[in-house]
Parts: sequence; C-alpha cells; structure tokens
Amino acid sequence: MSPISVPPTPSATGALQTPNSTDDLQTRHPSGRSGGGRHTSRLLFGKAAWVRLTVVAAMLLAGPLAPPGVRTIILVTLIYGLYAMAYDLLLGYSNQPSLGQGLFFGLGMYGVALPIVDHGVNVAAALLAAALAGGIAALVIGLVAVRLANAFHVIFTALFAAIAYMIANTLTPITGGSGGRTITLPPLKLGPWEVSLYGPYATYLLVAVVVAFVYLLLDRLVASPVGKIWTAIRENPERAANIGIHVYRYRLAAFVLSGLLTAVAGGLYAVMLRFASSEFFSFTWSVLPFVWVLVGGIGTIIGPLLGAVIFALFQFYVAQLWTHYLLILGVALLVLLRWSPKGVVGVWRSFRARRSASGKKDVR
Amino acid sequence: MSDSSILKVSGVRVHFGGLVAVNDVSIEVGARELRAIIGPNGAGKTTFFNAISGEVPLEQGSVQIGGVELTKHASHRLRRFGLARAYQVPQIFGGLTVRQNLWIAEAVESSARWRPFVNADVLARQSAFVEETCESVGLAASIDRPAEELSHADQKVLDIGMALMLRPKVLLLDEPTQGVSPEEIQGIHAVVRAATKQAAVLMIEHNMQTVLALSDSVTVLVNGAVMAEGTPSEVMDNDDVQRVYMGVNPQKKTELG
Amino acid sequence: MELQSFLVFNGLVNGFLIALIALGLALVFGIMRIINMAHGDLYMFGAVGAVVFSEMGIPFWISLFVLPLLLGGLAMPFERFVLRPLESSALATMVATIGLSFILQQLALIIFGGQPRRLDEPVSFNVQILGTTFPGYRLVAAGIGIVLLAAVWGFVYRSRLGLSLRATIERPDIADAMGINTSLVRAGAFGLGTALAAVGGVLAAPINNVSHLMGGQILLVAFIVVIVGGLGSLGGTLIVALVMAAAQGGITAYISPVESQILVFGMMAIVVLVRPKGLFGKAVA
Repeated sequence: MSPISVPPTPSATGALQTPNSTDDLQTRHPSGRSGGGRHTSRLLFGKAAWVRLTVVAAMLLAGPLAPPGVRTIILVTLIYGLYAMAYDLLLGYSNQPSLGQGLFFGLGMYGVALPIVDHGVNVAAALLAAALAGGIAALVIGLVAVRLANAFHVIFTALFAAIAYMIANTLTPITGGSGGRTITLPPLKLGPWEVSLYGPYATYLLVAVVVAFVYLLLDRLVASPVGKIWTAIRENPERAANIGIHVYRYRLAAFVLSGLLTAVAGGLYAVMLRFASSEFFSFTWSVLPFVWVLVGGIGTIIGPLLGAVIFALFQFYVAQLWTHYLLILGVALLVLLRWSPKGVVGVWRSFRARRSASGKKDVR
Repeated sequence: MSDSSILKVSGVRVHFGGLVAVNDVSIEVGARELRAIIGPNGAGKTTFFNAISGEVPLEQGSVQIGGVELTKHASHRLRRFGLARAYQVPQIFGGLTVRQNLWIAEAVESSARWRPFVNADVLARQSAFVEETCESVGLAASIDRPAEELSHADQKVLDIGMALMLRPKVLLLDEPTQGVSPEEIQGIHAVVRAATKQAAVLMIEHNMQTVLALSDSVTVLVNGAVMAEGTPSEVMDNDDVQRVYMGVNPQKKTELG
Repeated sequence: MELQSFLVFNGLVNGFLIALIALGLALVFGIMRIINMAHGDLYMFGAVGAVVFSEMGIPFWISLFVLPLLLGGLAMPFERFVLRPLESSALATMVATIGLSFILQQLALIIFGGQPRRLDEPVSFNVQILGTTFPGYRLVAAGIGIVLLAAVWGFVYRSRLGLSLRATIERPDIADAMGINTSLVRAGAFGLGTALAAVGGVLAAPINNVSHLMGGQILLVAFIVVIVGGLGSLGGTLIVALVMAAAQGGITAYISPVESQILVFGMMAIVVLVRPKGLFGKAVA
C-alpha cells in the first residue's frame, strides 16, 4: 500500500517561487528586458523545482513499483487528480463553481470510445479528438455560462450536464446507455513503436505521462501572468475589472481549458476501464471534483491532486471498512469548513506560517 | 472655466429607484489640482465617484478627461483614458503580495500577459516602475508581503499605489484617511501630495484637517447637488456650508467668537 | 385527445407536489439566498422516512404530520450553527449543504437500504376523470398540496409572523431594531423550507419509487422552477411549477418521458438565458 506522499508547495502566495535565488535577483538591476523566459531557468534548482520533480517522479514510478491491485488504485487516483486540477482552474482560479463538468468528462469518455470502437482510430488520436471536443463544447457552453453569477452559473451548468445525461441515456444505439460500450484498445502507436495497452504497465505509463505533463503545464501557467490575473479575478473581481482586466475573457479561457482537460481525464478513464457509459454524465461526476478541490485546497494546483488522493484513499480503503464512507466525508466537509476553509493545503500553509513567524527565516 | 481643466464633469444625474442620488453635478478640475469633495453622509459623494468611474450608470450628463467622453465606454476600459481610483474600503488582492498587486496593474496592459509560461514573479521583480511606486507610497519594506497581512493604513496606501500604476491623469480618492490612526495620517498626506505631482486628484474626505492641509479647492455636495465651491478657506467661511454641514449657526458663531 | 388531457391533468397533479418542494426552496434560496444543495435530499428523506415508518407500523397520516415537523425542527439548528457562520460565502454554503447531502444520502442508505420501493397508497380508490381512471390518492395528495400552498401563502403574506419574515429578509437591520428576533426568524424560515420539502417527499412516497438517490433530479427541477419563476416571487414559483409540469405531461403524449424532460429543461435554459431575473422576479439583488 503506497499512497503517494506529495509534499505541498511551501509558498503562501500561490507563486511557486524559490526563496533561494531571490537574493540573486534582488541584486540584479531591474532591467525591464523582455527576456523573462531565460530567467526562469534559474529556478530549476530551487525548492519549487524539487517539488515538481518529486511529484512527477512519484506519478511515473509509483505505478510500476506497486503491486497490480494498488497500481490500479494509483491509476484511478491519477485520473481523478487530472480532473481535480482541471476543476481547480474553474473553482480556484476563476471563481466559477460549476456543477456540470460531468458533461465534459462523459464527453471525453465517448470522445475516445466512439472513434476507437466505431472507426478504429488509434488511441493517441482519439485522446486528441476528445480534448478538442471538450474544448469546443466548453467554448459553446462557456460563452453563456461564464456570464452568469454564482448560483445561476451553478444551476446553468448543472442543467446542461443533466440534459447531456438524459440525452446520453436516450441515444442508446450510440452510447450504449448506462450499460455502456466496451472498448477493445488497439496498440498505442508512437512513431515506429507499437505498444500494447494490455501489458502490465502500458496503460499506467500512458496515463501517468499525460497527467504529469498537464501538471507541469498548469504549474507553469498559474505562475505566469495569466495565472496571476486569474488569482486577481478570484480575489477581487470588481477591482480586477477596474484596473482593466477583461474579466469575462479570462474566465472563459479558464472554462475552456478546464473543459478540455476534463475531457482528457474522461478519455483516459475510458482507456483505463476499456469502457464508456452514460453514467459518467451523471451529477455525481460533477460533484466529485468539487469535493476533491475543496478537501485539498482551492487555488493551488497541488491541492486538488492531494484532495483526489485523499478521496481515493477513502474510496478504496475506508470503504472496505465501512461502505458508507461518504457519510464520513460529508461530516469531514462540514468540519473542514468550520476550521479550515482552505482545505488541507491551507492547514499546511498556516502551520508553516506559524513556524516561520516564530523566528525561522523563510522568505515568502 | 479655463480650458486647462483635465477633468470636465457636466450635468451628471444618477438615480436609484425613486431617489435622485446625484443631481445635476458639474465640476472642472485642472491637471495638477487637488479638489476635495466634502459633504454630509449620504450626500451622494461616493455615488458621484461611481458615476465617473462607470461603476454606476448615469441617467444623464457627461464626463470628459482631456476632451475624451468617458460615458460611452465600459468601466474596465476607462484606465486607457487616464482614470484611476482608490476606494474607501481598500480594494486590493489579498492573496497576492504588494509587489504583485502593483505589478498586475501594469501587466494588464502589457504584452507580457499573453505569455503563458513566463514566470510572473520574475517579471514583476524586473519592473522598476513597481519598485518606484512602492517606494513612493511608503511600502518598500513590505513589498513582498501578502497584501492581506498589511495594516489598514498600508492597505489604503497600496490601493492608491495600484491606482498610480495606471499612470492616471485623473485620480479619484475615496476617503484616504478613513480608518487610519492619527500617527499614520501624515504618511497618507505625503502619499496624496506626491500623487498630485502626477495627476489631477479628486478626493472625498470627511477629515477637515486633511482637506485644509492638502486641497487646492473644495466642492461641497449636499443632497446630491453642489452647494458651494471655492478655496478651502472660502468654503469654510461660507454660511450655508457652516449651517448644513457643520451644524453651526453662523450668527451664533460670531457671538461665540 | 383523452390521453393528452389525462397526461396534462396528471402533470398538473405532479405540478402541485413539485410546487410544494419548489416553494420550500424559494423560501430558502429565492429569499434567503442560501444555495441548498441538500434540498432534494430533504425531500428524499421525507419519502424514505415515510416508508421506514410504515414498515415500523406507523400509519401514513402520522408520518405526514411528524416527519416534516421533525426534519424542519432539526433543520433549524443546522441553519443556525452550520450555515449561519458561512453566510458571507455562497461557495461555503454550497459546500456545507453538499456535505449535508452526502450525510443524508448515506443515512438513508443505512436506514432504508439500497432497494427502491414504494409505499402502498394509504387510500385506495379510483376516480373517473376525463374518460380515464385516475388514482384517487394522487388527487388527495394534490389536494393536500394545494391546502399547504395556500396556508404558506397566507402565512407569509397575511400573518404577523410572515410579516416578520419578510421584514427580516429585506432589511434585517431594521427588523432587528424593531425587536424582531431575526435569528429565530431565519432559522425558522429554513426549517419551514425543509418541512415543505419533507411533506412533498412523504406525499410522493406512494406515487414514485423511493430510493436514496431520488433527491438529485428533484433538486435540479426545484432550482429551475425557482429561478425561472423569479427569485423572491413565491407566486412565480407556483405558476412555473404548475405550467412546467402540465406542459411536460402533455408533451409526453407525443414523445417519450425522457425526451419531454429534455425539451422542458432546454426551454428553461433558454428562459434563464434570456431573462435571468426570471419571469416574475423582483430585482432583489
């Protein structure tokens, strides 16, 4: 049993910056050059980079090193993690509590399943197709949904997901309804290599590589100007608009990216299960990411990963002790709200803040 | 008035439901002038600011900066015409550091915002303007602290700093000394004075010392309309102002000496 | 033609039950702005409770009386001690009620089990309506629904307590100054909203299959009805519930129930888009 232990990011400001090289940067004259990209290479040797390295290594290695049963659990956790990170873009970075992401998840599943089963497309292409489908659907829905405030946004997205669920249930010839459709996976073709996805590690590595890649991508994205603008929009949308931020556009971008990544998560899930069913459009699949992000910590990319891990632990291990683990989760949510609204990452950060306030030198 | 005024507001009218909050107010402010707006609570001062900054729709009237009509544009565009604002309750981004707060104001209009894999913090540290502005509002020591950890007075000053990052021609300050302790007020005065070197400043204030110490001219708003206008001493001596605003009977005042 | 009028009539009868549940949500969300994601599960708990009580030998009519009071009563401290501290954040409230939803669903699963079942009708008789036989119990249920709706309307708009409620919601500071116990009023409103959902659940137990998951669909429907009807307008909620249910019933004469549901949902989505304030909404922000 090897749950992934992920050390959360040390910085409290949401910027995964390293304290170590700050001194160097401060003695440097602010030159205002546009070559900002080159400076980031200095950070590869800092604390934040170690975090990233650890996470990626854990993702890639945990599966092959674990016994097959546990490997499947880690695999599922990785996909949950991807879904959760995508959801954090909505909840944590652009303040849009959507309850309709199940639509994109299901879309992603079928976006992979249908091309493979009905048209013999290869897996990689199918994943790309699913991502594209997710992005386009998110754009269409987002054009409207992003304009809506809190409660309306929730209901609107939930409404669309419900409609998608019902349609998926009705279009049985295509979707197979809740009984679903089984997928036989063709071997993965990468250039000259052909790898069967039925081998012991193949599916795991495929998923792990994709998820690790997305993690690194999002990690960079939230540290970039776009990420800071998103944070500003979350912290104070009126002020953001006031200083000239086109709030709608940034939120829409987050919505589309989230939809795209959610579809990828769905696609990977279909690959893992060799199965797709309309059940994955259901409300549960829209609520789960919400829970993962909240438990782990909103507005950090690591938090949702952590939340997904904790949830998976609950789902697979606590459930064996007591099937009604969701009850404990419900109570835990209420307790969490009372004492640490920022989730597990929030608890960690305030712990570190208290430690550094008591004299330990730790530049934030 | 003279054509050297950078801000021309004419005939602005705002109403909510049945209530007229701002009634046909006109004001002209020169390029380096500091105009204080005073008046009793509920006189419509903040609503007036909201109308200028486009946060509240005007029923009629015009607002021009440097000859450009602002009322046709969405509020998030107004910074391009030289308008910036600081708020009564400081509107800052608590989760970001002081540096990042200031930098965002600059970044929003720069090409940097489109580069998804550049590290924002590194870019922020490269900005000399951020450091200068931080210095000029007196927050150099806290530049890398999260904004939510600052004291109220520091947050107010950060709010002003963010507005200054927009390089405004006209700066709206809503009660800069509100909630600030007497020791810190001098600090705020210094910041406001520094701001007038860059822009025309329109300042809502209740603190008469601040008004007298800083402003070049004063406009008195009562019940949404302009009641008096002039230099600080002219306005203070105005009988009507004394009666309405300061609740003093002018006759009685001379008796009491 | 007979089939269609029957379906519309059936829809209308359902509509009254939906109206009850939606009214409960209108109080809680439309007026108090609490995003109660557990509202559907409160309905479910009423239904589950009715079945469990009946299996314990308790007569239906007692369940109908006791369960709403019990659930409404428990809801009051929940509002006061769990939701009230979170009132500044809509998101936090949503999360708290999602937590409640998990708890309720699992409790139902534990107490009731996973096997969906239905209550026997407490009164068994048939009525000839529009040329077809119609289960009499459903008329009774609708009738009870109508009575309750009228009672709630009378309470909110005609009674002194109702006045206190409306005052507390519109201007809590003034209401407080006038000596109204706003804390009790708010908890009470939440309790009333819960009780209405529970009543709907009990009444529905002999009509629909009861399962621990039945809350989900009704939650969405209730929210849609409240939003389309207009936030702050109880009358709007009622009208939309009835029209929607009747229309949906009528449409099923031509297409399958699922498809008619999709159609109706789609129309509601369009209404929300075009007129976010709802059809009868007041501009209470």
